[in-house]
Amino acid sequence: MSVRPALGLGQRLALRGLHAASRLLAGYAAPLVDEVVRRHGLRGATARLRQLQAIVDAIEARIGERDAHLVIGWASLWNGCRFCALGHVHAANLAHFRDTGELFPLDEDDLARRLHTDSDAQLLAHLRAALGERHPATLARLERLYQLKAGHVPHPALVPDAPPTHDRDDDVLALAITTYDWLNPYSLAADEGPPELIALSPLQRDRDLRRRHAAARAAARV
Amino acid sequence: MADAVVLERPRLGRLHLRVREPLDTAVGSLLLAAIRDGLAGGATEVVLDLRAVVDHDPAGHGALQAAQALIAAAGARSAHLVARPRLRGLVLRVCHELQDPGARPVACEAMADAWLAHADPRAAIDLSFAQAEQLLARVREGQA
Repeated sequence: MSVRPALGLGQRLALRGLHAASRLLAGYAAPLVDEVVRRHGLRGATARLRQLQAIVDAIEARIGERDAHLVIGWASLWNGCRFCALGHVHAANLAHFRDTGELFPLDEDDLARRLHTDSDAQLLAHLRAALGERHPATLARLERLYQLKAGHVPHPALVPDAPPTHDRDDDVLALAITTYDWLNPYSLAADEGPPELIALSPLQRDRDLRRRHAAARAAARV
Repeated sequence: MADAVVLERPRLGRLHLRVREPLDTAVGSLLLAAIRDGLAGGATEVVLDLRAVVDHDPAGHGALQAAQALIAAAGARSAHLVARPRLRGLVLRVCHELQDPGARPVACEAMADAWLAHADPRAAIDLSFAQAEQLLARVREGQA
């Protein structure tokens, strides 16, 4: 019933090279790339993934590294994509830990559990409880992300025929939503079980930061 | 179990079903039968309300895939109302597996109406990519 084109020999070889280069440069390889190649071919996939990187860079330039990864992580979390949600929230947590020496109050393991069990309303309540006191601006941004995602605030990129908006901040959030509405079906199709926690950012290569963050998180859980 | 799949508000050309139990083999069979009946009755749009579904198993995944395949084969468009990430992920995955251009998950009935009334023949996923490209240009303008 499922329509899943097979990868050709040339595509498999090219993917092997791409993944090796990605491990070297970014510190990880994303299995979803195979699925994008499967659907769009090498050239189409390369163009789309290049555009994806440009989008992530643009979001980061507008709202900063930590909040960009939080916005992208939550855009993916609402879509049920564990790999992208946890990968970007982890990247945000590492950036916050690097810059402040403190843990950001969104525990990756807790989010993984909640992603499996919680409703949208329960996750929003968790977000408010976790961020409300110490990170109200970031909370407001993530709540607005959900309002746009759910159509409570209609944005023309998300709700067909909605009136135009001139809110540039909403455009940034809608950009994250539309991008990951596009990408997450590929990552969901490529997800084959609980993955190792990977920070979907160059911080994945910073082993010392990851080790110190993991130790601090483990201590906080005790 | 008899009330696990409920037919909502009859409307010309639209089949609106509400699923009220975890999506498993039994509920999946009921869903499949209701969709088959609705499409045979001339429905060209399907609204599948999964907001009360709290869980699903692999059989539920298979049943939803079979139901979506029926909808796609009939050339009908569909909107899936979901209220939890796990279900939204299941719907996105099923639509991707089938490459069904006429289906998308939505959070509320107004979004379902807007999607089903939308005339653009592109798939939800392609629309999202096109919208992202347009928004990227606007966001870059804002930075300049």
